[in-house]
Amino acid sequence: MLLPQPDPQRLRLRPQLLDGLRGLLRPDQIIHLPEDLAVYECDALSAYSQRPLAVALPESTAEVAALLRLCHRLGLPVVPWGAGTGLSGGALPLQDGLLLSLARLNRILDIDLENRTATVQPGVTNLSVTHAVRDRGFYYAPDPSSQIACTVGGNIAENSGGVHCLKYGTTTNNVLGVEVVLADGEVVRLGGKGMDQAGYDLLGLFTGSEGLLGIITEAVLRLLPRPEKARAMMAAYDSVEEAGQAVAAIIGAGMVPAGLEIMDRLSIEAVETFMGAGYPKDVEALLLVELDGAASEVDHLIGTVEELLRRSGATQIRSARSEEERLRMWAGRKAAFPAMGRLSPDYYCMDGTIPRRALPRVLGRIRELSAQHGLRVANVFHAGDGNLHPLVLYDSNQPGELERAEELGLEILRLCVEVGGVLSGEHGIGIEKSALMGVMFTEEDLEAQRRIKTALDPEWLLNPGKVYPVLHRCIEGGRAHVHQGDQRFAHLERF
Amino acid sequence: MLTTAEAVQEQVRRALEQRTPLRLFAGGTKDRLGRPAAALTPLDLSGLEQLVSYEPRELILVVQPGMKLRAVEELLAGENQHLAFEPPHWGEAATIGGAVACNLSGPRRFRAGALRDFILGIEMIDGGGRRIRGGGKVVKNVTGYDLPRTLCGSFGTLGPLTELCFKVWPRPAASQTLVVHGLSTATAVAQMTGLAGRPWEITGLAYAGARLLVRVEGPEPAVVAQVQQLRELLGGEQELLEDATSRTCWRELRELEPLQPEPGEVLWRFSQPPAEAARLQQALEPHGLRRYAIDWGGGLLWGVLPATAPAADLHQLALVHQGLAWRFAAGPEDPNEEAFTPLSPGLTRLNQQLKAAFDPQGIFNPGRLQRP
Repeated sequence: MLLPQPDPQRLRLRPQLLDGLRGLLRPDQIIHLPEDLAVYECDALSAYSQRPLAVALPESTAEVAALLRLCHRLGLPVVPWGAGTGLSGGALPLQDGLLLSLARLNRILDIDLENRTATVQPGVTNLSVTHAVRDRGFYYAPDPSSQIACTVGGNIAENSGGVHCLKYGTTTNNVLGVEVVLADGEVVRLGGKGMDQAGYDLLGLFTGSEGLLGIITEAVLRLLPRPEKARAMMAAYDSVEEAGQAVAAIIGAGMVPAGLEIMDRLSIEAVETFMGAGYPKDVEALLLVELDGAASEVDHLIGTVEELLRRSGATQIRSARSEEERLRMWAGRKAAFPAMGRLSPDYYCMDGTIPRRALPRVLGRIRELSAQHGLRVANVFHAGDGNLHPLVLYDSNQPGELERAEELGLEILRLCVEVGGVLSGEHGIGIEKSALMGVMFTEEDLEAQRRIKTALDPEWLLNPGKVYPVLHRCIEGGRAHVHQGDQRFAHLERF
Repeated sequence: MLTTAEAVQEQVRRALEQRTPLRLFAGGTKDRLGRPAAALTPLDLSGLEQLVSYEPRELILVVQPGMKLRAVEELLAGENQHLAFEPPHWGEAATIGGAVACNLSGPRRFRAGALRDFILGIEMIDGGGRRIRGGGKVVKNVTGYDLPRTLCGSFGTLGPLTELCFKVWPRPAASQTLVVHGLSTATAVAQMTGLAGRPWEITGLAYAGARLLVRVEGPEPAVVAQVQQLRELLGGEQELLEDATSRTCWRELRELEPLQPEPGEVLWRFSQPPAEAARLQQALEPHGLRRYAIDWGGGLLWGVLPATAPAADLHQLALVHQGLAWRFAAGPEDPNEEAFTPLSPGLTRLNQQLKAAFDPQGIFNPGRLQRP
């Protein structure tokens, strides 16, 4: 990982920054004492932490714009911060910059069910959007695992996913408009409640741009009618590869289930030890399938899925007969990450996506790498869209294990790209994988992306060093790992 | 005839050396869309028509941009799949690249998403003559800026696309359309916005020729059951269109067959929040609205208006209804300078910055999207 080095000249501007902040905000909107700054020193990639010059807590778009004008005038970088639940260090503060927390922009501004939209401020949490409309038969589809805490602004910045992406898309497919403040403080609206945008698809460009192009201050989200019915079933297999073939068969038969998740033996055992989800014992792989939609359609398709699973070599098949049982099946899957804590003091979570057909090759190679490095790897993944989350288990108290875990993780990501996949399916590049962008893209490809950054933010003041390294000010560091004891947001589900 | 990315790159490099702006085209079926490009030298992409790869079980299709839409759809139908965004063709020669350049989506858009929601990866030649890639070839990816989406609807002004990767989708086994006659525009729009919030597999909601059209798709027993529920809910004078007739009905709407302008008329496309459709239609009446159809559950209104209706007024009207408008050229002689609703000053600047990042010398379709 490449950690940006602080610029001594910028560090010396701290008094001017604090003066400027005091001119724009009330004292309770400014955090500057070292002990208070500690709260903001890292996001959920907690192995890497550093404190910003100060934290500002604006309460309106006008205040965000004024803060960006201030930083623009002083030439200081700005890092946006939602809830700090990101796993790739996208919100890691910069020592020579301002951290801009959007936490107080936390109001739902408008619910418009005729147009099926919710207009919200960026600090609103993902799940509270659904809570606001659930009783009226609607929901907001993207469901990242941290949804009780993560914010809409952060979701848009990272183009967050979840377990239902294959059918319902990621954040980018569920946002209709945003208000953004640009690097120089100008406020612009992209899109709106309609289904088209004027000019270029800047909404598509800004979504997933990891805070590098603008600060989101408002978002128009697309609401969907809540499915009339959801049915889940699980099937056990003698190998993960067979479970993968079952997924291909289901999709090949013309179905797009709302959820398709695979867990390997190590993950299943960890979950059973952790919480007892009722998963079958002594099996190599488990496939969870969920169908949702109109009741008549779900009822019709569930039989077809069961038949396909039977023919795919499943050794056991079980349908959830009640809503309670369905939720328990999912609870197990969602507990897979915390459950790893029972197997190993530390784990390093990867997030590559591969073409599903490459699964046998990738799993085989991961087994080899695991043996070579002497570290166990548990596999859980979003099988429908090929998004793998291999978890490399290690103990940071054993000399050299962290380095071996990082090396193994890097090999896995290279492998994902080699088989035609990508570095990140849903966690983002952030600071964690910025040095790996060259594995997937040529220098010309990256130059084209950096030209967009330079065109919209000529001084590279918005979240510099994330996604694309700032080449002239970098040091080589280690890579990302999560230690059981100091993982932030330990209470959040991780899947 | 150019058939490879290398050949396109070569022509772009020559154009850069000679400082000759290029006019990008392929099938020529979308020529009436957009402003005129201030470029005489054609860059013909219709020869890049090869299928690169198709993996039905991965839901992944990779094609060259000049591949005919009809050929793409036939290929997918062979595996019971389709392009879920149901792109309009507007002519036999229509290509997949042209649909991307205009981000054109058909009736299923309000439910399934737009073309831009199904593009996963691109390869293109930029304004420095470089061959660059963006996105990926898997269905879930957040690695780097989303160039594929950024290119959708760019009208060829950011550079020629040389390869496209799409997420394709299972084709519903059955399609039925319930037609309800005799509803006013306001009632029909209210019905459509209500139905779009129902948890049913409704994939088409339109109002055309004083008929409300409700399409349900999926496995046949499920479609039949849902249509029965709809019949009870909607009442009125009803008619049921089954598979082939249902599909024809929506193809005709998508292809704008009832809305072809006569001499002295101009076709307009308005995109607005769905609930605004009836109010917008009312507001268009004083401007001489001759014929119209509402699609996307209210989110899209096609109108035929007199050629004399001032474009600036109609664009203003679109803005008042929180929407935007496209004016189609009346014919080859019509310069169509006011094709698009003007952008806000902030958006204008962002659009110019993005254009300059891709095409600093302004050689691709100058003026096609916005006044240069």
